[in-house]
Amino acid sequence: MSAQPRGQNLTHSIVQNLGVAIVTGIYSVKKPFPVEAQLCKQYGASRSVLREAVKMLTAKGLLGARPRQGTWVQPESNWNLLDPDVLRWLLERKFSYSLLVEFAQIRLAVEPKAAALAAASRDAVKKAEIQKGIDRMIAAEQGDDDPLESDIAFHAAILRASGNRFYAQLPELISTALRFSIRMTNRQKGVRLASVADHEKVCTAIMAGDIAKAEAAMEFLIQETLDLIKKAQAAGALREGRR
Amino acid sequence: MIATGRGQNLTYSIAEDLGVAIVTGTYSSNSPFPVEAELCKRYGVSRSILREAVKMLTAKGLLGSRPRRGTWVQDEENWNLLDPDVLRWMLERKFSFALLIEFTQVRLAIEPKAAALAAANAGPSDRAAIAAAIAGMIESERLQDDPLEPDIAFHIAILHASGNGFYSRLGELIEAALRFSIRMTNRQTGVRSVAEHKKVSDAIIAGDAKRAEAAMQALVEDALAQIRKAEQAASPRQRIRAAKARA
Repeated sequence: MSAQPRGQNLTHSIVQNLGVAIVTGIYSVKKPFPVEAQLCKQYGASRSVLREAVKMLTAKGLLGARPRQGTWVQPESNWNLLDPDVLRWLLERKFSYSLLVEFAQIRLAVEPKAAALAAASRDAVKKAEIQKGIDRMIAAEQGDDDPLESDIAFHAAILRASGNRFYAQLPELISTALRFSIRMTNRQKGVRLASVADHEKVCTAIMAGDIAKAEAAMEFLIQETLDLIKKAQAAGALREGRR
Repeated sequence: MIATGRGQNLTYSIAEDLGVAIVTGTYSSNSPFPVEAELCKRYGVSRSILREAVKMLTAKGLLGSRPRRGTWVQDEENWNLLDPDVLRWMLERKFSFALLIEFTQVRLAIEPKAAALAAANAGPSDRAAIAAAIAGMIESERLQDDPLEPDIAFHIAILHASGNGFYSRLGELIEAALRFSIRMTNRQTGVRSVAEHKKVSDAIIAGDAKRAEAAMQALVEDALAQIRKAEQAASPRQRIRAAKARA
């Protein structure tokens, strides 16, 4: 049971609720955002709880607020896609291939470099987590672990093993997007599971300290994902066209 | 004194003041974060304004807070380095070569790919923005002016031109770091750098993704090499201090 008292939970659920409402266009740049008093009434919250929620949405780039000018919805280009909540709301809003393509493009930039840094790293403890991820993926093939969680654990372990503090902050974001994209790419391939063998190649190269091979193997992995998403996107567009 | 940062309002300047204090280690396990009443008094603000500032710092991963347990400073590994404010505070106030090198590694991953995408996707207004930035760099070189603003505009314009929302979003973060690092690298490379930037822009305008990627990679690799050189040149005392901060 959560020990969090009501205020904390309430703020969080108001943030979720308003965040989804903004992302789905219930409130938008064109439609005015409700005044504070109305929202307090709607959520049965005090002004201070509501203000905290609004401040959090402001930090995520969804809302702008200024004294005497009130609160407004920011244009979509201001939304902070690098915030895991925002990314999740957007992906949930309406399954969007183009958002997944864009996300895979950034993974294609980041993850091969992270794999290269991990191969160069001497942090045996963090590198061992990568091997654990692979072990979990293999177990998942036998139905002894969760295929999605083990895949996420593998990618997160590499980012953490890179020894770069910026990469080490990406696992949450990557996990959010992977939850959507892995399901889709696995479905597309006709196999439920991601290719463990291809993942293992990355792991083997990192463990062997082979920087170039680690980078290339990870690039292959993400490029494959990107190609699958694009293929699904094209097939989806075709279906749309026939309608 | 409260520095009036980019934000015009009081909440933001309190957040900035406290944020800088946290990254510079003013509060720690030995000197715990002050209680609300004390901070309200110090800044002469209401509890609701102070709470908003604390909430902002919580969102940035610098503070944790829970009713009845008060507010505490989070461990450094929880600080959100992907937040432009946090990155700026750390680079300006708690400079370490290690952090700048790590950030440049991220740029080395991101910017060449963004340039490749820009070569494929840049629209007329993107191309105009990239060309204007190059023109600005040439002009400031001619006038022996500070090329910082057009240089930043160049990198931001390419991220936007990629047509990828995630790359666009990184613009603010890269700007925060560039404001800091360009001076260091320009001091060392000087004139050569404008020609190197123009190579990237020419390739993007020509729609040549491979050449754009390679040219941008050369540019950022050069920046990384300059930073490493500066690290070497730094006084041993500074290096020891940086190593201690890292440990």
